[in-house]
Amino acid sequence: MASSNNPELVHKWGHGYSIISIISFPKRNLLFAGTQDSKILAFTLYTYELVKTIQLGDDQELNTRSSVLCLERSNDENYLFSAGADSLVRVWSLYEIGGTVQVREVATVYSVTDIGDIFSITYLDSIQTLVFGCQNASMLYLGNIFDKLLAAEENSPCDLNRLPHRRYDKFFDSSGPTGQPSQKQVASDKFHEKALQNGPCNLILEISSENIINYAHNGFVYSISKLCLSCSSLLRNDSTSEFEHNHPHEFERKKSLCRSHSDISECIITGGGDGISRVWCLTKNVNGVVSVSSLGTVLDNEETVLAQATDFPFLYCGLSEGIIKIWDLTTKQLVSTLHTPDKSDIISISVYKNHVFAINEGGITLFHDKEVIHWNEHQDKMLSSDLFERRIGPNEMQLSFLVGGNDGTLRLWNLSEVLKNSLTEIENQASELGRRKSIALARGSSLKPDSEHMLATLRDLIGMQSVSQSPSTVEQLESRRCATYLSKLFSKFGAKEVHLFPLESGHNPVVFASFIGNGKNKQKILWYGHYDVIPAADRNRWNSDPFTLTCENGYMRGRGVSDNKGPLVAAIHSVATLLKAGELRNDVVFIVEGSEEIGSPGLELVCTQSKELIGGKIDWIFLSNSTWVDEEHPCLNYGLRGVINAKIKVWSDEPDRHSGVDGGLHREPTADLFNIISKLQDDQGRIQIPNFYEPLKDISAYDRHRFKEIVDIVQFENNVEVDDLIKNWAKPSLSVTTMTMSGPGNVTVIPQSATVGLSIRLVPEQSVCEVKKALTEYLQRCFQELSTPNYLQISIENCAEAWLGDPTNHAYQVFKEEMTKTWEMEPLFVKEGGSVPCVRALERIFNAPAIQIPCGQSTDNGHLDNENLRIKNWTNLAEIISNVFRRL
Amino acid sequence: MCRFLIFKGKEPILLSHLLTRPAHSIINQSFDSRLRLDRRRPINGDGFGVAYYPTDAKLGEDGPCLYKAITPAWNNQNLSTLAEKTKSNLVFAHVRASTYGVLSETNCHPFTYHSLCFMHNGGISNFKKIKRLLFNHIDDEFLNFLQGGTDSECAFALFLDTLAKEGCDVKSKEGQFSHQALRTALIKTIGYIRDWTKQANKEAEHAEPSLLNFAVTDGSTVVVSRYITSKTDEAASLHFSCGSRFVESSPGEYRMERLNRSQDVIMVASEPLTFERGDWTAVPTNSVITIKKQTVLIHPILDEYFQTDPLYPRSSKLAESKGLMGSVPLAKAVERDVPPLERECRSRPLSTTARLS
Repeated sequence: MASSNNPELVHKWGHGYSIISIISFPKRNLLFAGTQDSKILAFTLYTYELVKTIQLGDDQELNTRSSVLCLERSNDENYLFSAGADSLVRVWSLYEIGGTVQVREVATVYSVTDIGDIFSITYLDSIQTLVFGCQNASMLYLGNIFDKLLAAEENSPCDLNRLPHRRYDKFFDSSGPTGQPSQKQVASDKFHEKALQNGPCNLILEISSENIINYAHNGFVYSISKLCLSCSSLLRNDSTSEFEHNHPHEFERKKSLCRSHSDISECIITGGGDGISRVWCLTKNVNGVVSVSSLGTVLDNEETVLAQATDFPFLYCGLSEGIIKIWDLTTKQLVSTLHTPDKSDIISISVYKNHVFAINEGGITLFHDKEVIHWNEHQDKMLSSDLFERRIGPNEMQLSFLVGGNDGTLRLWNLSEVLKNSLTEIENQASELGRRKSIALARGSSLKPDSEHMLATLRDLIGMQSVSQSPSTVEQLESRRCATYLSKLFSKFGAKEVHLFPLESGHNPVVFASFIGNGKNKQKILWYGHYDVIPAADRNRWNSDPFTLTCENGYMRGRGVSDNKGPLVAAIHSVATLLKAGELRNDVVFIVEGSEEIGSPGLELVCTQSKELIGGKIDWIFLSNSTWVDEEHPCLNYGLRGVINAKIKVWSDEPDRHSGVDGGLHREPTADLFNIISKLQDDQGRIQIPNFYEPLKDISAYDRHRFKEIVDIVQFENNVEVDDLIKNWAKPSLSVTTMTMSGPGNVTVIPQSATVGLSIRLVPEQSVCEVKKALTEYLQRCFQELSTPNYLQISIENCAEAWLGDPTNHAYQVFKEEMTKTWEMEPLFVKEGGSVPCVRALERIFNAPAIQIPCGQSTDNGHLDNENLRIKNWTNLAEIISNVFRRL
Repeated sequence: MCRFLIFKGKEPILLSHLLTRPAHSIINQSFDSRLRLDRRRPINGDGFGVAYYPTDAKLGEDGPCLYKAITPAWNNQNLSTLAEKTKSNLVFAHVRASTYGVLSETNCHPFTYHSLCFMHNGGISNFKKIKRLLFNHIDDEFLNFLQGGTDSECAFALFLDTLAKEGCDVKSKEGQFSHQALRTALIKTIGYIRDWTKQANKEAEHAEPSLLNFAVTDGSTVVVSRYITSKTDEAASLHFSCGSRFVESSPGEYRMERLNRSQDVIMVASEPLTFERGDWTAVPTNSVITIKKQTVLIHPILDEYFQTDPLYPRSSKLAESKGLMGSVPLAKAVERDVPPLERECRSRPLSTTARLS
C-alpha cells in the first residue's frame, strides 16, 4: 500500500491505564472510553478535550480494579450503558446544561446470582431492552427498562443521598470552549423528559430469575450483535406470514390498524467462548412483556468468538488466533474465512461497506476486495475499536476509526484516505444512479408505466457483483447479498412464500418464491432464472463500468443485463404487477439460482428435496436464457444442445526439464497429450469417439423446413446456409478449447505436465452418460497404446443434457400469439447451439414441459465485454409474459 | 475439610505466588483455620500435595512432577524453598483434612497416572457400601493401580477406567485427550457414583449426599466439577478467576488484573485467594468447568439434581458443617451503594471469615 494511503492520525489521547471499551456518540460528537481503572472518560470531538472523567463506585481505592469491559448507547444518544468486572450494569443519562454535557447515573442493574464479569452488552431501542452476556455463561435481559424506572420512581421517591451523581459532582468540570452548536435537547421517552425537568435519580434494578438464560453458551458470552427490525423479521421463521396478503388493500388497512398492537421482535446474535454464534429473538408482545427465544441457529466457529459485527445478511465473527469467519445468516452457511497477518485473538471487529476492520494485538487489519492493509503506529496491544461517521462540516462527513490500547492511548484515525478509491467508486455509483434517474424521469413518458420500477430493480441487481466462477470473498458476499435482495423483493411484492435454499456444497443459495393466482382451474408455472454472472474480464474493453447499469440510445449495458438479471426482473415485475392489479390468474413460482454459470451444482438436489414445498404439480416451466438469432426477429427457442466440458491432463514423475540437457531421453507429457487428443478427430474433423454418431437421427423434414424459413427471413451476417444451422443446432461438435503447461513457458523447457480443455456439444439423441463413458474409455485406450510411463487424468468439469421442446404445445402457441400481438410479427421457432444446464433436469423433476423465450438480440454480447440489452426487447418481454400469465 | 487450587497460565508462574506468599493461599488457609471455630475438623493438617507440569516439553511428558508430604503444609520448609525456585504453566495443589483413610503419603492428593493428574474435594457418602460396587466395575489394571484406600483415589481409578472405556489410551505419555473426552469421562464418573450413592442410601432416610468436586487434567486441558447428589443442598465451594495477570499489590496481598478481555491467567480454587470482590466467580452448583487452551467452558450436569431456576437458594449448611465451604476474604470496607451479592457463599459469619489484621 502506498504511504499516501495510510490512515491519517487525527488525534491521540493518553491515559494511565488500558482503554478496554469504546463507544462513539456521533450525533453529540462525543466519545466515551471505559478503562481498566474503573473510569469512563468522555471526550468531545469539537475540541478534542477530555470533558468528563467518571469514577465508578464510591471508594476510589476500593474500586480502581473493576475494569469497564463494555459500553453501549441508545440510538437517540440519550443514554449510555456501561458494564464490566464489577458484575453491574450502569445506565447513564446524557443531557446538556448550558452547552455542557452532563452524564448522570440513573440506574444500576444487578443480579443476585454470581454472574462474574460482564463481557458484552446491547440495547434494543424498539423494545427498550437491555441484554448482557456474562462470565458464568449466562445471558441476562431487562425489558421496558425506562418504563420500569419511571414506575419505580413514581412509587418511591428515592433517597437523594443515594444518588450517584452527588458523588460524581466533583468530577464534572465545565468545558466547551467556542464552536459548540446549541443542540436542542430532545426527549424520546417519558423518563428522559422527566429527568430533564427534575434531574434523574438513581434506582437499583434486580434481574429476576425468568430473565436469566443460564448456559446461553458453554463459555463466556463475549459479544452480542443486534440486527435492525426489518432484518430481524427476515430471520424469523414466521417472516413470510407477515407478507401474506392476497388482497393488497385489505392488508394495508389491517397493518395500519394493528401496528401498535402487534408483537415487536428484534434479533440478536451472541458469540461465546465455546466457539458458537447463536441467534436469539427478543419479542415484546401485545401486553408489553418482553421475552426471549432461541431461533435455533447455531453457527459453529470452532474457535472462541471474541467479537462480532453484522451487515445483513452477513455476520462477521472475530475469533482467536487471528481468524475471521463470515456467515450468511439467512442460509446459516459459512461464506468465507479471513486471516490477519498476526495470529493473535481478534479483540474487535467493524464492518463498513464491504470493508472489514479487525483489531488484535498486532494492529489494525483492513480487508477489502483482495487487498489486506495492516498498520500499527507503535501503539502497544490494541484492545478496543469503534468505527463511525463523524460530521466535520455542514455537509462533510469523515469516516473515523477509534482504537484504544493497553498502553492507555486512544487514537482517532481518519480513514478517508485509505478508503478513498473504493469509496469514490461507491459514491460515483450513487451519483451516477441519481443522474440516470433524473434522465429516466425526464423521458419517463416514452417508457411503459412499469419500466421505471423495473429499471430501479435491475440497477440494484447489476450493482451486485454476483460472480460465481472462482469468486473472491467480496464476490461471494455480493452473490449472497443478491440472493437476500431477491428474497426481500419477492416478499415486498407479496409472495406467499419465500425461501432461501442453502446448497450443501456451499455454493450460492437458491431463491424460491411462490405467488398465488386467483383464477379458477388455474395452472402452475415455474419461472427459472439465475442471478449469478460471468466475471467482467477486461474492464478496459467496456465502455462503462460493468457493474453499473448504464442506459444509452435505447440500450442498457452492464454485466448480467441480458444473462440473466434483465429477463428475470421482467418476469418478477410482470407477476408483481398482475398480483397488485388482482389479475394474476395462475400460480407462479420462481426458482432463481446462483450457480448457473458453473453448471448448476446442487440445483437438482434442492429441487428434488424441496419438491413438495415448491408445489408438487407444475404445469409449465418458463425460462428466458438466450437471445434472438439476429437483431430484427423475435424468436421462440425449442432446442438446446447438451455439453460435456472436460480437462485432459498428462504428467510425468520428472520435474520440468531443459530440452538441451534432457531432450530425447524421456517420453514427454506434451507429446503424449497431443498424440491422444489428435485421435479424437480424423483428418476430416469427424469425431472418433466410439458410437458417437450412432444414435443420431436424420434431421426431420419439419425442422429442415423451419431452418429454411429462418435462413430466408433472417439476414445473417456471413451467408449462413441451412446446413450451417443444422451443424450448429442439430449436430454434435467437439472443440479443443484451452491448453496449459507447467513451467515458465520458455521454448526450451520440457513441461512436467500439460492440460487440454475439451468442450463437446451434444444433441438430444445422445446420452450424456454414455458419451462421457465412451470418451473416457477411448482416451484411456489410446493412452495405453502409447506405452508411456507418464500419467493420464480425465476430469469432467461439468455437463448438461440437451433439450428439445415441443413447439406445437399449448404454451408455445399462446406465446406465439402474444408475441405476434406485441411485436406485430410472428416469432421464429429456433434452436440454439448453446446449453442451459438445468432445463432437462427441471423438466424431469417436475414432469412439465419447458418453454424458452429469448429476450435480447444476437448482439447482446452475453459473457463478453459490453453486455447489453435493448430496452424495447426487455419491456416487450415483460408485456408478453404478463399476457401469457393471464391467458394460460 | 480439604482445599484445592488449580492454576493455568499463558506464561508460567512461580509456585510461591500461588502457594506460600499469598496471605490467603491454600497453605495459609490451612494454617489460619486453626483459629477457626469449626467443630468437626479444624485443621487441614493431614498432608498436602503439589503437582506441576514442567515448562520443558520433554520433562512435561508422562505426567507432572509430584511433591507430597504428610506434615502440615505450613511447617514444610522444603515446600517453601521449592516453591521459590519453580515455575509452571499448570499447577494442581491440595491440602488435606482426612475424611476417609489414614494419614499417609499415598492418601495425599493429587493422584497421577501417566499424563493424568486428579484431585478431589468432598466425600463419597456411605463409601463403605459403594466400594465393592466400584471395584467390581473397574478393570484389574485400575484396581491394581490403587495404592491407598481413600474414596478419592478410588474415584480416580473409576475415572481412568471410564476414560479408557471411552476409547482413550490412558497410558499415553503425551496426554492430549480432547476436552470433550475428558469432560464426558468425568461426568460419567460422577454419574456412576451418583447412582451407587442412591443405591447405598436406599434404606437410610436422611442419608448424606455425596460431594463430588473433582479436578482432572492431562497436562493441557483441565476439567473441574462442582457437584452434589442433592437438589436442595449446595455443593462444596468452588470459584474461578481469570484475567491478564496475577499480581502482588502489597506484601501477601494479591489481585487479578484485567487489562483486556483475554484470559491469560485462569485459576480455580475451593476458596478465593484474593481480597478483591470482583476477582472471583462461583462455579454454579452441579456443573463442570473446562479450561481448553486459555478458554473457560462451563457445562451443566443435567440430571435429577439439577436446578433450572438460577436463583434457587440451595442450603449451604451441609457443606459448611463439613468444612467444605470456603470463606470469602473481606477487604477493609464494603462499598456503600452497591446492591447485595450475598449468594453463593459471598457473605459469611465473622467467625469463619479470615481477616487480615
